[in-house]
Amino acid sequence: MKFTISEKSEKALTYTLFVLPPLFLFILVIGYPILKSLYLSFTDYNIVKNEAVWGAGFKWYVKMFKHRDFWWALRNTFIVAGVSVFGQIPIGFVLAYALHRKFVRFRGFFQGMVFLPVTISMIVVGLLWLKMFSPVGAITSLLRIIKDDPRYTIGIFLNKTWAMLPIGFVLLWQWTGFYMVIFLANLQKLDPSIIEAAMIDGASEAQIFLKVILPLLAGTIVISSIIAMAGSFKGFALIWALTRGGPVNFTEVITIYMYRYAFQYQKYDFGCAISIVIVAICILLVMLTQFIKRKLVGEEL
Amino acid sequence: MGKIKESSQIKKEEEQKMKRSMFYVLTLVAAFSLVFASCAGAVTLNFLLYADASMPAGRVEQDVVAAFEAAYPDIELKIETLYDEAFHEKLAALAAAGALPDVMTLWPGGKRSGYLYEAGLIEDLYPYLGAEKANFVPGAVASQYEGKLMELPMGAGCATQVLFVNTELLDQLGMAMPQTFEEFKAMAPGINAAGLIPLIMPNKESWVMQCSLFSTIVGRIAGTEWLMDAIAGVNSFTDSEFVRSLEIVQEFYATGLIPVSSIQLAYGDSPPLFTEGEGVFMIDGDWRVGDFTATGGLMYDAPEEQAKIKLTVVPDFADQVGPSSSTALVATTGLGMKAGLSPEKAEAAFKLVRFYAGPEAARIRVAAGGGMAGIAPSYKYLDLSGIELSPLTVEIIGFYAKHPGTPVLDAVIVGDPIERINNGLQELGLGQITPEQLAAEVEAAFAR
Repeated sequence: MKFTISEKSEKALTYTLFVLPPLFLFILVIGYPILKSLYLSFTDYNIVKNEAVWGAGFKWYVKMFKHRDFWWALRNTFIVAGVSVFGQIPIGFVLAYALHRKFVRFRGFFQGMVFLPVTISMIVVGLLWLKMFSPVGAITSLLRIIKDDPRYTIGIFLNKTWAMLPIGFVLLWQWTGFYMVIFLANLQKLDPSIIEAAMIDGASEAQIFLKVILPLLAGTIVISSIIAMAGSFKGFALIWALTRGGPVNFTEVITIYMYRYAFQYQKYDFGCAISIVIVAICILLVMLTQFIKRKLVGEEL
Repeated sequence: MGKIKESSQIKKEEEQKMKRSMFYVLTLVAAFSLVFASCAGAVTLNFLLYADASMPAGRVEQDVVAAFEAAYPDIELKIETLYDEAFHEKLAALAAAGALPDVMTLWPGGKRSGYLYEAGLIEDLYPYLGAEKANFVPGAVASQYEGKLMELPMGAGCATQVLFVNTELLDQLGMAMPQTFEEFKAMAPGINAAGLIPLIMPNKESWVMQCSLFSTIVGRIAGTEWLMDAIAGVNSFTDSEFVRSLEIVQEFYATGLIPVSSIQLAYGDSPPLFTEGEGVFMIDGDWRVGDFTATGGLMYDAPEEQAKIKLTVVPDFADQVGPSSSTALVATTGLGMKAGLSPEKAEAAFKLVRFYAGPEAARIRVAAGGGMAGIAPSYKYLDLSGIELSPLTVEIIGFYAKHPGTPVLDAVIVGDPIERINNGLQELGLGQITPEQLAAEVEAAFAR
């Protein structure tokens, strides 16, 4: 006797079978660790002895919110997010637009060169610029010749307020190409007759850009912003290689702050509390972005 | 007819089946015997070595390990060589994961390896060392943690503050070796005006200032007894002795002796600056000498250049109570082994631990002009015949007799307080904090 199932339950079965493996992986690699971290953040945890003593209450969270280093790390992380969303994306978009509208020649060369840093490992990029900016580095030597001062060093690294500036520069250098390629791909999907029609109607370049192109690509911009923000909050390798969060904690971002306490000071319980706060902030920011998108663009995505 | 054929065919098939299964069984037996043959007698050890493989001194350590492998062919080493923070982070991660290597470079205690000892992860070496303890310098085999020996130091002791002096530059500038701190400070404007760095120090890593200069200052201004009392809580770090020590660090920066830009100078970038004549003085640990003298080192093939460098300590301070011309001394690093190894592995591991600190290794290091732990070996009975010592090696060997030692802070202070001191010294140099504020924060970090 043949075994038959209804079309509806066959669909449900297929759906379940497709979803189950990635769901399982998600729970294993992301869901369980987050829940475990949440649990550990309320304990006193000695990782070397693997002993978690429940009952720490909110003490780690209180310690964190009272700690000036935490707020400074958060400030730096928002600076990184800001550079990504308000630096890499606009510049990437403008470059993509310039290439798409054929404002320059040798487009292939420029596209390749702008994208090239994206392909380099973040640690290598960090070390590269560390060496370039260091007192014995190439850029310092060049500046010494230009300024005619043999003892000149790039002092901005030692300035608490402005130490994130060089890091912002390196981030722009590395990641703008990534967003440029995304926008270029989306621009190439656009129907060229729309731009032709606008030009026939007498629109200037600026008007074409603002009134035609931008609204069509709004969805891509929002998605890129989410990617940029998520990446910023995860960001560790580049800044670690460049400054280790130093000097002192001037360039420390939230992930380095967490790393310092968890891995260098062996305070894994405190580290777990920090990681939960990072997750919470990321969720809030993504929700915020979705809200803004709905208000500006509608539900087209 | 068909039936007979069938039965002979069946027989053939059966024979073939038998042959095939025999073949499989034989293959299995051969495979197993190969596996067991390679197992018998060969022990494999996971070894995490601390060495800067890009510098001559680090390569000397790798030579020592290669000599061990040649001497003990039946011990297979799976070696990973790391340096500085990368090593400490990896070891911490391995400890947290419960995957410690069988043998690893360890510190005598303190911030670097203390957490491993507290968790009981490292084997006590005294039972393995036994009577051979008498062959090592007493200071090196003194107990390190709760009466146990956690690592067998490769050196007799390690001086973290050595002042390298470029006497040729001093002569060119028409200056003399300073005898007091006041004289030292007075030299700064002249040297800066000549476009040179008075005192080169790679302060990007926060431990360097604390380990290589501040420890000496505290040892001289406050004295060892005060320090140990302060750690025990009998004194306070807000006492004037500690505040004065911090003020002296401030004076080093303020007078231009140490440029503030040194906080951007990465560890390892200072020796080339010094050998290229960019600075008159340099402070680093005694382990740095090996990078000048070892094969392939900065001054390996230039004994005349080496002869122009003198090794001493920073001049005395006017208000010091501690010993004159002191440096900061700590037991050196060495190899230790994971607790709970099987008897064969433990035996093999201790062979490596002992070889690394033993006479053959010491000879390799001295002949090469220095390894990662400076020059004075911990093994007492050495055959140094036929080794020609370079001028700087002779200098550093004579160094220890001339300069008494006070404790290195990160060997006796662990946890939050030492982190506050390390970072605070950088903040002090950048003018972000006052000595009094920092002293108060250090005392608070002890959370008594």
